[in-house]
Amino acid sequence: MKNQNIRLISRLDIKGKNLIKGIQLEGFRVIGCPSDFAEKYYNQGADELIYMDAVASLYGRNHLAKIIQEAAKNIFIPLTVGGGIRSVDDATQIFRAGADKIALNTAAVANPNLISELAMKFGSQAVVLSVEAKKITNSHWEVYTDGGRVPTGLDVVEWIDKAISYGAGEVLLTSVDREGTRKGFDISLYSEVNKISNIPIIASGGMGNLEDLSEVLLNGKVDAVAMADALHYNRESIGKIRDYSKNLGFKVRDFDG
Amino acid sequence: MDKISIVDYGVGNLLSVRQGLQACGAQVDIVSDYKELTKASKVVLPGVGAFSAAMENLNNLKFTEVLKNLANNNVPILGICLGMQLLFDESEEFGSHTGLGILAGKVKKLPVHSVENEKIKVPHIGWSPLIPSVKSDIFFKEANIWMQKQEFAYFVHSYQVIPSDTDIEIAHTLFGSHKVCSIVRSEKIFACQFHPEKSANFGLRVLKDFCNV
Repeated sequence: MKNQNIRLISRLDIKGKNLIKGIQLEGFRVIGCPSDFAEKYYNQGADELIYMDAVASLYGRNHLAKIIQEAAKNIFIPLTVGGGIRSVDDATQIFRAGADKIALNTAAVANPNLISELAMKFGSQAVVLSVEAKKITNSHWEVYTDGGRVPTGLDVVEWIDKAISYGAGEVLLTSVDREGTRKGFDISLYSEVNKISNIPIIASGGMGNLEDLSEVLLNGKVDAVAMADALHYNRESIGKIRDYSKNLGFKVRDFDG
Repeated sequence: MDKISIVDYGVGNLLSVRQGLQACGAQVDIVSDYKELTKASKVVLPGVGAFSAAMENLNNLKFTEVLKNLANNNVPILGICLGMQLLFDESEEFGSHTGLGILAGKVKKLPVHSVENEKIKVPHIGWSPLIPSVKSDIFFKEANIWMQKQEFAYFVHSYQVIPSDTDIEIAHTLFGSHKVCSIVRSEKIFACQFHPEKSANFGLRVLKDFCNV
């Protein structure tokens, strides 16, 4: 939509104490210390930060609370935290550490009522549905959990529709096929989901260059873009991405550092 | 600088509001006992979530009367997001619910179609510029200077306030080209629909100005 506000988000995938980056959610490489990168992106004018514990769902552990506690002391933009949140208690602990929103994937698939319980307690705006989508055909994607490893048999569009009715406030939609590949976003995935969604969609996975960004904004019609690889490897800066989006006709936050 | 009391009525993330105020050099108390609150010299009323649940908690914890008395006694109060909405007379969120009535006006749902009749997604989530309204100069001194540049602030909300007295509106933003009241001030009562504690340097400026009132 012309004049639409969009958000530019940096996504930080975490394993243990490290910021990491994989390809198709696998083969993680250590990038560095999460707080260094978080501060850098904050100072560059990122609109939000998303922290994802890449292995918490697999091993049932969660190291994020400490990292978030530190971040919340000097980063004054919204923080979303996901990975390994299984219960209202887990979520409460993450909110107490300073998160503004939590992202649910594996636990929501196992028990959609958890979405409602969290939305009732913290408000829908604080509950992000995280979806890992794998392409099956040109118009059909399957929901995966546990960092893109476990197929669920659920159809992505139907699942998102259902999760919205349970009270999810936003969708972080990651294309497992494109994640970390720099081959561009899966545009048809986003435009299909946008047709049924009355809540904001955050695109994640595959940004290789600025043309990819324009594709996902103009044709995928997403409300926000989460970027990792492009920023971590200094291929693009948030400032440059912001100017580019503005030139496309989108409204972005003015930021002069 | 006065100590600032953040009202803890069991909803939302108080930590980030506290961190924001502390980053401005303020001393902060999280107050969950109404008797404690009667002694407050400066109050922040934060809040996320649903209006009716929040009012129920304020009533059950006996904060309602205390907040009204503080307002009557000219104690500075800053309402943030849902905390702004709670200051008004009533809200139509999930039925009709009585608010604190410290400011006159109603809370209504955001429109789901733009002025140009395109679908807009509610909640309104993201950074939007603050456009000074007629009497913008009666807001905080420093923040007002920044606002002349239409600073961006972070919003997350599904409802908006409609003040009865339009003169208390300091700034608005645009949502699908609709004007949405974003900052109000009446005497010592301040409120913003956006989250200053999540609005980077501009937000911290607002909090700092409130600390210095």
